Amino acid sequence: MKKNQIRRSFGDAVFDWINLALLLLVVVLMLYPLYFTVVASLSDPYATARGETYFWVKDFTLDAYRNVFINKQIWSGYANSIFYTVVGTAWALAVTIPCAYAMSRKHLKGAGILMGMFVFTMYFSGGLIPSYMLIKNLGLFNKRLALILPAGISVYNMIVARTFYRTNFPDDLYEAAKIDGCCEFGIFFKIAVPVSGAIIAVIALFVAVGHWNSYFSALLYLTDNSKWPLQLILRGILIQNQNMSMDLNALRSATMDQIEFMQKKARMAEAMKYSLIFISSAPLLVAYPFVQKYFVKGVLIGSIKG
Amino acid sequence: MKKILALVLALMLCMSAAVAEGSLLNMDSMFPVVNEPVELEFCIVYDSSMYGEWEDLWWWHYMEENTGVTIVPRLIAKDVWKEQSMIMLSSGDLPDVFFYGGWSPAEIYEYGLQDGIFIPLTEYVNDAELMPNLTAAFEMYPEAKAGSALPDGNIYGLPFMMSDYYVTASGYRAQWHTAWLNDIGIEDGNGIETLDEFYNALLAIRDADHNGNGQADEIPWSTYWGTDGKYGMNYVVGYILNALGLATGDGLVAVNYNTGEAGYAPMMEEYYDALVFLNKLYAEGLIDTDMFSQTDADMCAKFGAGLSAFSTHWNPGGCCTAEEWDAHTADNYGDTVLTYQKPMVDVKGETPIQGVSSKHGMNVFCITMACENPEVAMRWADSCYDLKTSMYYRCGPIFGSEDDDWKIGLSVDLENHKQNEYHEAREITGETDLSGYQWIQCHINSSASVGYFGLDETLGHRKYVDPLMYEPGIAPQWTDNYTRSIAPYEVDLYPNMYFTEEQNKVIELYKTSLDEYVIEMTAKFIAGENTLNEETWAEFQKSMEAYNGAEYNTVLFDAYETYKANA
Repeated sequence: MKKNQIRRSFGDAVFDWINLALLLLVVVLMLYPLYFTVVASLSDPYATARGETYFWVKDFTLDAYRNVFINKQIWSGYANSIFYTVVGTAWALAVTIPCAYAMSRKHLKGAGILMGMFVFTMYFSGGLIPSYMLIKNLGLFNKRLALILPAGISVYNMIVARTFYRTNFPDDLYEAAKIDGCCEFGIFFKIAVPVSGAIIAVIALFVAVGHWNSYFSALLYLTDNSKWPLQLILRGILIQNQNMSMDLNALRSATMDQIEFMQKKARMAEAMKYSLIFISSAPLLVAYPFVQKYFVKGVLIGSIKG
Repeated sequence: MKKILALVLALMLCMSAAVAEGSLLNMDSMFPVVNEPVELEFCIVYDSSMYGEWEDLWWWHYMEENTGVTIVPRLIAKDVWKEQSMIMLSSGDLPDVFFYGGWSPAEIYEYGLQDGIFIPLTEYVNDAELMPNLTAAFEMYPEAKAGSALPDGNIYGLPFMMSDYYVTASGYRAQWHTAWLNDIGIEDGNGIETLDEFYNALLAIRDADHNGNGQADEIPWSTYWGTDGKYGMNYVVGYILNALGLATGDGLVAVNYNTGEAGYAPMMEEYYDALVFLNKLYAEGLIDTDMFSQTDADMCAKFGAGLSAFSTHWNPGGCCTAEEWDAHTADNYGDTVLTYQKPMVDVKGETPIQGVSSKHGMNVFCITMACENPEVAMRWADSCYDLKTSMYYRCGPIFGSEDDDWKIGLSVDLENHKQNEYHEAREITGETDLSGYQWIQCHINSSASVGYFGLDETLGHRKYVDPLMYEPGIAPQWTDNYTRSIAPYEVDLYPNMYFTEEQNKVIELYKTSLDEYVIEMTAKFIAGENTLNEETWAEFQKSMEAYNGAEYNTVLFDAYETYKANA
């Protein structure tokens, strides 16, 4: 036999083509901004501002990348971001997985109360000033740990993981292991953890992306800018340009060399805008295709099956 | 015998008690400030792109060594200052001193008068023994003292004062590309004196096709309005108002030098004339018709492409290409590439005015209620008002000698001074465009918002100092240019001052919405969306009443009259 498929009628074919067209349109809409960022980062910044770059690079220049590479702050920001992401994710996993496993066991005494407390914090929190005072009193102010320790547990992630353990690690398995003489820690490390590869990957992903993109905690708790993550440094460079124009009163009494310096900074900031965006998103863009399947699985993992 | 012994012991006790009382502060000379080590926590705001290491900041360590006061720095980057200051002030986690010059009068009013977070400094300021340098400075600039006092009569922050030789292009920076002017037969910015001549020049430029491409794509005056209109009100509307005799910074609060009164600019007749003029420019394409939708970068892009001739931007370098700017600075700010427009007038023969901001700023140094030794902090601050210390703050350890009163820096030990590091840095990094200003921020003082502290006599004299350091900074040609075209017409803008409590209330209630309304209507009038004639103008005046414009105007007028009476 030639083909093992059902013949598509004309209507089906039209449906397919329209589907294809719409999906292609969506793909282009999603991809074009990324493409534009790359193209704009290689073009002359003022040409881009005039709107002359659409598809091709106009007035090719590598100045933007050169300015980025000679800026030491960006490198320190990169290193800091990688540090926070790696260590923060490890810490979050170390806290969330055992917590979720424990909460998933029905025989945990006081599970109801604990769960109530956890859920309460999902809806109510102290606010900005109390958090600041807490961090200060814990002695974490202006220390890198301030970005890692408090961000350890996200109750939402914990609930997702708990559901995973409830479905994938049934009580019978637990009983069997208990009968064989395994202690609680043994059951956790020897049986539960190896089984939970998927959930570890999913939580690691969520937390890593969150850490990579975060800037607000750093803004509040870190005054030493050698500890700042990349996003905060980016923000600093990009808003400086706006701040300058708005500080009109101060500009009035600025001296000539101050003006010159600010002008140079403004030019550089304009030029660096797109290259900065590209460089700061590049790691995630590169990593995503490899971990995409985990994301897809992860979205469903929290749902109760059957 | 015993009696004598007892008497001697008692005397010794008394003497030691007397000595112990006043022993913390050293009242005999300026340095050192204290006899025992004292720690003060300073909150210093820095610009994160220009920050060097704290250990490297020369001036702060100079002060520590000489005053004996150890400074514990709390360094906050300017980008995050808004959030951090809010948290610091709300949570009560205060440093001893805020070394920051960007407080608005409203904030000082709130944190000083109302909340009591900043302590009143009046008793210290009036104590001539405790603060001799400040007292002397106030004698030179009495308006600084008058302007620093809040309605309750107290001073909450120390001001900085600049000498009369302060030469910058303050006020409006209006510049032409000289080549374009030459095309239409005008030599330089002094050749245009009245608004009519200005209009004719723009008209000629529009039609002259400077870039020779046969298309009428030239935009004689390129500018932008800004998302909230503040830029446009300042640099477009404000610029024309200046030519009509109103000295205004934001186009809204103005001192009318035709009548000698101050008030709300949109309520003055000259505002109507300015709107008519700008509308004419807009309608004929003499001012950038994209101005209401474009940004700073878009405007700079147009200049970069050689499409525009005139600008009133605060940054002249942004309004030309990089090569043009290099050529201009290489020419020591002469008239070859860019020429600065002289302040204009309405009718030929009148004296032009150029509004410049006060020569004193407010509230750079605020002491909080957490400080345990306010007298120590005040005496420390007083030493900054000494000419030498404040010059060191501004420019680093060079300039002058004791003999010429530190004013004119001629006898400098060029071999050993710190500025040599600047020259070395330029050679080592090859960064020949390492800005002197940047170097100072990284190595001397690093206080982004306190560019000047104390008494600043330096700037007018910079032509006498290390030329490499400030090349191509303030060059003699630049000061001559300024002195010729702008300095003779300097007048004061609406002064920096504090209002009384009732006046403050009125301002808080009405200013924001009134300003927003006026800015919106101004934009509409200029763009021609609302026709501009006597009728619509009268309607506009009436509608401002609905926003309580009359009350606000009265407040501005009264406060200015009070200020004039007290000055």
